[in-house]
Amino acid sequence: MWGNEQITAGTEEQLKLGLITGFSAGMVNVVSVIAFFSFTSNITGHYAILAEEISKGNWYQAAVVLVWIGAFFGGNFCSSMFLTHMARTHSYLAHIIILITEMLILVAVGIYGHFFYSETLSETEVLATLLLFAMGLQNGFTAGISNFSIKTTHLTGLTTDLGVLLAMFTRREHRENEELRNKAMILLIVGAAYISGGISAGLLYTKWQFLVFVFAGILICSRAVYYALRLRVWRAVSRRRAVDLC
Amino acid sequence: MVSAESPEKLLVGNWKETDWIYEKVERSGEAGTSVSESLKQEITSGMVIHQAENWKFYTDGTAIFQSSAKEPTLVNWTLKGRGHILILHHEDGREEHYHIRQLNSSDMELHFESDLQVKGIVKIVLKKGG
Repeated sequence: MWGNEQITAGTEEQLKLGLITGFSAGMVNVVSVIAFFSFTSNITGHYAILAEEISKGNWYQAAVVLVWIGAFFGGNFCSSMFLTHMARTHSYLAHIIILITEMLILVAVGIYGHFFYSETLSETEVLATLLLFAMGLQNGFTAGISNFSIKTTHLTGLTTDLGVLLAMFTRREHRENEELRNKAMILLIVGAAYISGGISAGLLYTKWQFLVFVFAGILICSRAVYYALRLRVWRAVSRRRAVDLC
Repeated sequence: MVSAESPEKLLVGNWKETDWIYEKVERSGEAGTSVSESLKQEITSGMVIHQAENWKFYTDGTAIFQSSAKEPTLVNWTLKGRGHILILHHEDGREEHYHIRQLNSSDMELHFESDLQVKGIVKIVLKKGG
């Protein structure tokens, strides 16, 4: 999308990315529901709740939900800003910055929740806001580098795309289209990863509570390390080519 | 009535139960009906609101449930979500969850699910004051 083939992820890259980010998003969402009684990896329901709270005249709750929607939007916006402005010269660095930021937020929420959280409403609202921002970062990132074909923090679009693809597959020419088959496979794997992450988080929460967020952050960090290694390899190859040209 | 205050601030104070109603039930014809006293006792058996007529919420996160029939019960309370979930924490670790359907400076409406006798959502209406 940004005209640089190093940024746009191929099928295998999308698969690995979707697996890790889908799994972590599922974890974050389930633990958020258990701990905060609020979804933090998707905002479809928040729009409906916003309308409901406005109609009931609950301005405080409406403001809270509006801030949550804004946080998710802000995360997406920040991700896309990095990808847009660093695409041509520092694409892998952009990936690393986004993922590290997301990891730091998840770890911070996990540590705060585990050691300092006293369950006041204000704390709940702030922590949920941070998580929504982190998920917005992730969603913007995965959407950006997959040319908007993958979003891993919410499954509305994924389910829609899957339904469309499966309907298309009732025709032979679409079944034989490798690109469409790959896309369907990626969507299925992301969905399965999301559910698996959610189930795992639900089980882990009984023992680890908020430290599950730290675990999700470590998963995201592994992807950042991968990009850091690729950046190092790419720079080494670039230097070698420059030397050869001289 | 519209409200712009934090639910935590609105909750603090003395509340008196005024009504119990089945909001949604599995069996048709029962929704919107008041809950009888005997059924109320059965539904709330084991819950902190059992036999409690007056609820007092304090700023330090504690709450006292009083009735003429028994000793007052002390619990801790927290709000979750956007302030729409009330959780009452017993000393023995048990928790009770209530959905706050409405909360303003004078009225509160709580919902919780009951699966005894008639499955459905019970609505508790409280008035502030006293």
